[in-house]
Amino acid sequence: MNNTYIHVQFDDFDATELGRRLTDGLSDVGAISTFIGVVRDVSESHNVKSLTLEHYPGMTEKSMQTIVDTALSRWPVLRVIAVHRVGCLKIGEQIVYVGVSSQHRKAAIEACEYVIDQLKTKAVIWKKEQTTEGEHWLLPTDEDSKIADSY
Amino acid sequence: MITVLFFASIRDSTGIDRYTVAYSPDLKTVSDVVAHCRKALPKLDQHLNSHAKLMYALNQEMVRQAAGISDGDELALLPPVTGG
Repeated sequence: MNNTYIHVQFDDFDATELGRRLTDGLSDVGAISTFIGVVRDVSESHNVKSLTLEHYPGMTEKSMQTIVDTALSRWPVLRVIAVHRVGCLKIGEQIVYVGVSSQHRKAAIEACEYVIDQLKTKAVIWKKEQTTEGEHWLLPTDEDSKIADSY
Repeated sequence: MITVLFFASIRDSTGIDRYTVAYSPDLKTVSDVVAHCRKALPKLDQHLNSHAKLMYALNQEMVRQAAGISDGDELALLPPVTGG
């Protein structure tokens, strides 16, 4: 099995099934770290009703693969998975899944954090918020950019 | 022929998701093609005047404005991304 898995999809993902991919056929996994991003109803001062995510087929996957490959080369990890949803998502729906397996916990936790931090500002995806006051495209926050550049 | 793709806020502002530019030797760089599109599409020009940050992908590779253009290329104008 490949040590990375990238997918962009409209449908929801099954975190349990993705978690299995992190260990399938491996006997030396000692740690699994995962992150799931979820649509929330508050953002700055707006009441969010839904979130629409757009991607550039091919380019989006390439941008995610670069992030995951970098995580695999910078930390002693076994497998790295990133799955991103696109389309219109309602409050409470899952947006993104990051999963990392490794022999020891520190590498899995750090690599998982790195991947989600980089996805925020480098994955070719755009988010539009539908709020009670109308809809608008989101911009990366200074905080997100600062975190992504800190590695 | 050069295909120019518009995404997210740029697509919303222009009302179109792509624009085709006839290839001409005068169009040497990404910057030339963007300038050509801005002249042809006032809504794109307006959008770019008020949204300075823009990235370019040429045949799905990130490039700078000075990158060379060839006939048949696909150029995408990418507003700031917000994944995760």
